[in-house]
Amino acid sequence: MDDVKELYIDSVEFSYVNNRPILTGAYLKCRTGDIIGLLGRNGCGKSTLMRIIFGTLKAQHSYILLNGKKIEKPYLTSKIGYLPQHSFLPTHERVSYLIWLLVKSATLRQRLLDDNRIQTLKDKKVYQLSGGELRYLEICLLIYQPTDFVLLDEPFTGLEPVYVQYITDLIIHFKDEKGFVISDHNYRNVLDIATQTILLQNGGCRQIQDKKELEFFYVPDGTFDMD
Amino acid sequence: MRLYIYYLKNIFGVNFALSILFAAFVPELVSYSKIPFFSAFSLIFTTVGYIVSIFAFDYFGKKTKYMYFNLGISLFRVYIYGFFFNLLFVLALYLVIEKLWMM
Repeated sequence: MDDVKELYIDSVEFSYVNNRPILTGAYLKCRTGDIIGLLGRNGCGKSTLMRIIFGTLKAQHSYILLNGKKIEKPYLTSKIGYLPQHSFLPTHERVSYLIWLLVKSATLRQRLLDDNRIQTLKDKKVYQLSGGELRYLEICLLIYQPTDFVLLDEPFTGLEPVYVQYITDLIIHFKDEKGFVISDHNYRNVLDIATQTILLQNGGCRQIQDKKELEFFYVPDGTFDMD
Repeated sequence: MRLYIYYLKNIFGVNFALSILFAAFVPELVSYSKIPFFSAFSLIFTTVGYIVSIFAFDYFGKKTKYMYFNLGISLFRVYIYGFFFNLLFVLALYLVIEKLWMM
């Protein structure tokens, strides 16, 4: 495993103008093979942190290292993918065209087109897809890029269980090639696949060791008693 | 490269239509060409028309900008690329029109 890539984020400080600080020294380390579950309450800064890591939001202070090299705008390196909460695909385009447009590598494109679920979608236009199909397509388009890290902001929100399972399978399939940071309010789905759990709280990142600790800081007491 | 072409495809029609419209109101303002309308058109196409098109793209394409970011392309780079493409387009159009004018 000498080909392990690392994304390191430290000392992230961010506040919106004339507002209370959202992030005060957030820290995160992700390596290829990691699936980091980023949990936290509404408005605690999960999406903000992801956008700062991706480089589309400038923090008052941040220190980001990608494979040991300091970078200002990580997305320009093409080594990080980011799934925003909203859909980012143009609704009037055909799925097959978007795959051709966004997946440069012919090998990766063929691998994606060979996917059973994508085969059923490829002739449809984006506005004809269901919420689950659209989310699955978007995640596929990100995962089938030559990136080392993928940031997924609420990938499971509003999806039926079967699509949650498809997306989970997809992430696990690519786990050895990439590092994932997943934020979602459906914490059970995240915990099922996460190799590390980070709780974003009071502007900082707290590493969660077990479910008991998560109960103490995040979910109601007794949530995991039946597990 | 595909995404740059996709961007141009989206923005070209809007820019072209706007520039024709604007140029129709100011055909006499600039006249470095033998055809004043073309002079106004080319100037607007590479400046005001393009800037208005960028604003339209920025407004209507707020969500789709992540397509570009995920391929490691900044919007600034896309806009600059579009600007130089527009210059080339206007130059090519100028050469064609000049040739037709000579005939």
